[in-house]
Amino acid sequence: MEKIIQENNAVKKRKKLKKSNVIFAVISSVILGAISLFYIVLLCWALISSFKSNLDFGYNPIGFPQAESWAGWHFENYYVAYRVLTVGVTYAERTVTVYAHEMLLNSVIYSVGCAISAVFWTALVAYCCSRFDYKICNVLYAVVIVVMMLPIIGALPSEVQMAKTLGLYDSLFGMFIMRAGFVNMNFLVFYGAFKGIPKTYTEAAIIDGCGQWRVFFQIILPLVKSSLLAVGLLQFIMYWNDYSIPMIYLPHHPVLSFGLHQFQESRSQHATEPIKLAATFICCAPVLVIFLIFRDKLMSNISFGGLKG
Amino acid sequence: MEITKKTKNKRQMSVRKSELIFLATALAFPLLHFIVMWLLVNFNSITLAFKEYVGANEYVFAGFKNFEELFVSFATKREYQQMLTNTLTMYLFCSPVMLCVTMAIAYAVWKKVYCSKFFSTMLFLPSILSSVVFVMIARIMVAYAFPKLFGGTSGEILNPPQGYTTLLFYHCLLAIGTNMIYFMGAMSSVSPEIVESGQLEGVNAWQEFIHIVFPSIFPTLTSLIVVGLSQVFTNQGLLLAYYGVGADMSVRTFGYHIYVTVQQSVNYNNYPSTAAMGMLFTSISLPIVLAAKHLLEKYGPSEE
Repeated sequence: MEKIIQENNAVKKRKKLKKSNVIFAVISSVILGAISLFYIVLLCWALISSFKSNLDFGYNPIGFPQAESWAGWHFENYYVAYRVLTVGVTYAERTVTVYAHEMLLNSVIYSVGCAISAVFWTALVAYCCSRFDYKICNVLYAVVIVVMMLPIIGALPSEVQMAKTLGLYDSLFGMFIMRAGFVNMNFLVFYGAFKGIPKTYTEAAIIDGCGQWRVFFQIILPLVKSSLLAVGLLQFIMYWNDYSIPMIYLPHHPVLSFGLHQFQESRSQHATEPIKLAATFICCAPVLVIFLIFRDKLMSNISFGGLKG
Repeated sequence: MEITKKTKNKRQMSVRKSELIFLATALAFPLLHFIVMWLLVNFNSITLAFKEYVGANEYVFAGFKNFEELFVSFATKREYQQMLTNTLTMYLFCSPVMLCVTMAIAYAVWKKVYCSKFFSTMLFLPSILSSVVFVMIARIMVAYAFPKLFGGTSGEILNPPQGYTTLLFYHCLLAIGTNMIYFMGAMSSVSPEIVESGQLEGVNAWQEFIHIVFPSIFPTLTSLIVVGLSQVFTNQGLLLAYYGVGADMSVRTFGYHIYVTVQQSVNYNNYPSTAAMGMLFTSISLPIVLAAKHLLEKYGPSEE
């Protein structure tokens, strides 16, 4: 009798748990769905509006382009946006117009170069700190942890001064050097990844006569290629989207996101709202393509622990 | 026997030598970079705070003049008090509030609720697109579509002074993705066996989160809290993306103000006052950050 009561209680408990789990799943899905819907509406509205004529957009800013055929969809807006997306760069006595294709090239060089520089040096220092038992390695690890916690504010003027003194200012190559620091969150990501590789892997290679650089490039880096790719892509995306740093350090090498930032204030007769929206999609197209291709890699390979000094 | 020992010692010496050569070559540039771009830059920043610009890229020692001016501004200028309020509100919403929200969202996605993969992709999307893109879309949508949809003054919600609150809310909404990825990364290390045994014992979602998941993600949470605290006075949210360099003083944060002051500085005239402001904020933030880290590590939950 007692056993039956106990079983009944257990069944009741399981049912209650199942019910609470279902309620949790439903409430969570509704909240997540609402936030996702917000993004979808925002992006879809912008995409649809980017195909409208200026007149159509003025009268009908909410719905689809008003036309009975595809003729009402102004696909040429993208071509126009690409042509009118320009930035004026001021030199001592003259202003030069920089076109979208030039900004695109600057963006590619800036983002790829800075991403490679940032990832390579961070990974190298993290490798040294995680695999070698020398004092300098422990000191460097402590430096990273301490510096990351230090809230340094207002160093920007000094950094600009330093960049000008060292000839790094207004140079894409200078930016690669400036971004070569290793004190950042990615250090912890790489540190964790390298620590997880058994030391026997490298010891065996060293016994076989493999040099340290070869071990790093041919054994270690391939083992952490997922983290490397994820961090590298995130860095590329970050630099691609960045406009505030190029705005200060690269006044004569405008990048695409800076061009877009300036374009939103443009009063040119061609810079209509649908054209501006088309320009936003031109600017974010490469990033969207990368995201669609590497979505799983980007979203599943980033983790780091605490800031234990 | 002795020959083998000698050979072993020789090999060890050679390995050690190769390691030292590797470390010297690998760390030379990063160390130099750190010395120049961090130590020297910050040392220069400290000295700048005690200087005054006298023209032609020349500075003279000015003692505490920049700090005196700064304290007077804080005491008398309303815009400085407003900037402080904006800075602290931005921190409160972007860090503690949003960390809790993001943690809950990451947990729901980790629990694989309906369409969780789709939701995580959608939530991550704003993190990979430039803030200029979202600001441009919001600016045009609010100006043109909102008056038609909601009428009245809905088209002005991005203008000061209410524009600050709208932008803050929008910024928080767009920032969910990045932290979500960090939390999900941390949650992936939670042992499935522990989760399973918890479920067999009849723990509900809330209990599972508090007793199993939260202790596992706590180190990540600590890092994000500490980093968030260290960025209180540098955060500028979407202000630069929306207002450019000409935002009204009523919507500015100190992070934005420092950036714009440097960006707009034709010569070096504004650098000393900005460096002094930075030094003052650093001296306020530093003990707070260190205390927060210490307390979180001391009183935080243990994985055991």
